[in-house]
Amino acid sequence: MPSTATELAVSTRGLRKTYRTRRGRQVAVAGLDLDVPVGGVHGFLGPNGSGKTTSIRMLLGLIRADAGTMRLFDREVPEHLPEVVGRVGAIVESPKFFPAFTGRKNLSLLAEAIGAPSTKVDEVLDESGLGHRGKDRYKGYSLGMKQRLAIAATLLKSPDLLIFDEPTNGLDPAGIREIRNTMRSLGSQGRTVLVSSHILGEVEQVADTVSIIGHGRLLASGRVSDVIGAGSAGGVRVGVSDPRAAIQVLTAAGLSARPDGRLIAVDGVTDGAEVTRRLAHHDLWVNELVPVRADLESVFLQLTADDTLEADARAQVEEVAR
Amino acid sequence: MIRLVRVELQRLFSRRLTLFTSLGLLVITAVVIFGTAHDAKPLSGQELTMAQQSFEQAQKDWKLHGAEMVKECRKAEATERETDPTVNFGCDMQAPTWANWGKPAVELQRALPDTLQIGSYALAFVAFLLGAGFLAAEFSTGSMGNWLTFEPRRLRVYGSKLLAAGLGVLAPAVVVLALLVGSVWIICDAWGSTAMPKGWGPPLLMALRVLALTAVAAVAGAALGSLVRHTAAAIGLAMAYLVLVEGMFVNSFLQPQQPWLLLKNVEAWVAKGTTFFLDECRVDQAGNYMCAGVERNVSFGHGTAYLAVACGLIVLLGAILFRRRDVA
Ligand SMILES: Nc1ncnc2c1ncn2[C@@H]1O[C@H](COP(=O)(O)OP(=O)(O)OP(=O)(O)O)[C@@H](O)[C@H]1O
Ligand SMILES: [Mg+2]
Repeated sequence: MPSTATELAVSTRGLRKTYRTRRGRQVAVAGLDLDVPVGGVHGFLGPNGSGKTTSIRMLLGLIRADAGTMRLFDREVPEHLPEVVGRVGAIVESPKFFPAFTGRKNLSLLAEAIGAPSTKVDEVLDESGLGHRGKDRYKGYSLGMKQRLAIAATLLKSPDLLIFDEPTNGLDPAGIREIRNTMRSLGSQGRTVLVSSHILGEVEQVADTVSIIGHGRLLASGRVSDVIGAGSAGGVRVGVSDPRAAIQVLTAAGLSARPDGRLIAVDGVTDGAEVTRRLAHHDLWVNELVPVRADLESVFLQLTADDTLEADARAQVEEVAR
Repeated sequence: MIRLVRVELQRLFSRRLTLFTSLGLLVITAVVIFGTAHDAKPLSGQELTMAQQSFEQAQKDWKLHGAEMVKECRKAEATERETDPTVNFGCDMQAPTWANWGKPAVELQRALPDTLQIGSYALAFVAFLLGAGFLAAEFSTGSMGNWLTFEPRRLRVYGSKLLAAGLGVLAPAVVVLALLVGSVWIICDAWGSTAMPKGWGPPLLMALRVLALTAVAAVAGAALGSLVRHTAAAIGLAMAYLVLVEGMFVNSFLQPQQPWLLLKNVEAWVAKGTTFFLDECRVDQAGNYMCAGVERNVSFGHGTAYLAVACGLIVLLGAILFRRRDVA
């Protein structure tokens, strides 16, 4: 867990939320510890139903947490939410505005509510590329335009933290790229962007740091490269004329090597040079070397698979206990 | 807070529902005025001739048989009084006067309160509808969640919306009241008398009470809208209550409970007190089952307190839930 010494935009401890449903209680967030450092883009990754939206709603004071603490810019929320809300812009799930009003009207009502100057409305409309369509009714907007309006609305506050919940849902590739660029540029301006997603590629492309959750709990977090490294340490695959001898040499050197088809898989090394040097020492010449780069996908699947098994096991234990 | 109320007022007046209901209100106003005019219209020439003829006939009859009729009546009464001394046949008959024939001319003094009373129901109902839709629509479109990410202080949000609903309906209500008063005056000026022996004070105060009622109805509607979170549900609830409780049950088992029902108290507030009839039935000594209508009062103070408490309760309940409930 990262220490609280670095400044955090978002920090939660033991966050819990249980919904009451017809079938009984549904644990949506089960003791989440989430830390989002200030500055840059932070991915909030988890499969469908893992509790991302629920966590975000709790942070914004829209729903009540059952237990745990939350901080935004080091202020306890929801108690001190009014003090920090001006620094936080958020889109939760899909954009939601008054359908019968124009985009511009929707924004100007929000601007007036927070005391932003009315010039700001045109500014953010232009900034989000909505421009002249601002005079159309919101219900006539395409999904992409709605999303842009929502982003424009968050910018009314000039926020330090932007929370986007699955912002690319339903967008075409061009729209996705545009949002990605927006997030990157916001992140590089020194603002903090917290973007939730269940699409790994999206987070991998845009995020500096990432938190992965499953079943409402944190599974891994840190720099994207570190999380990839930790999840499945990576490695190389090498081809030599005498694999058996090569495995002996590498194992003797304390590396984990195993046959993998006609190649040898060496886990846990990121530097291929180390492998080639050791093998060359014993006159085993490498004719092929492929770095194995674990992507977020495999890390994610591995982490969430473990989690599912663990959860199943726990469920069984509870069953037996009863 | 003032800023929030201003924004909410802007939103209220930008809504199409506000526009439509205001137009609807104008139609209702026109119907009320038409009704007043219909009641006030003097008899046509032909009707007048007929009334005159009937009056002359009655005068003739009285001259011929009047004295005899009174005598007969007294005799019959005296006979009956031998068994029941309280009997009264009402034999003090008078010669017919023209005032009892034809149609009495309309008087502003009476027509104005009647019209304001009818107008008050229309205004209160429309205000309730506007208020309910104003809050409920925000929940059903999901924009409440977005709004709360801009202003998370829930009680302020709730308060500003209720206040805006209450203040916002005053504008159309003033227009409607002015139209009502103006047209009743014109009607009475044309066909009757505009004399106001007691002055304009009482009807103006009554109009102010109608305005207050309208604002309260809007606030209560808004609070209910925030509780049920769906315009149709809020209106459905209100209609079901009005039709079932105030329309049907009130004539049967809820008859004695009228002082605790809404409409009587609205009436008591607007008209500074009102009455209602109660069937009192009993079995008398002779074993006959007898019913008699008894008039009962609902005082102005009772109506005022009732409306204040009812509105206060729903606003309070709405506030508690608005503060606590999850917003999706
Ligand atoms: N209003 C609600 N009532 C009951 N259960 C709910 C409610 N909202 C969410 N849940 C449940 O809580 C769990 C977490 O839901 P949540 O929406 O937070 O997931 P998510 O990570 O945002 O998923 P997705 O990627 O699909 O958006 C799910 O099991 C969901 O069924
Ligand atoms: Mg979600």
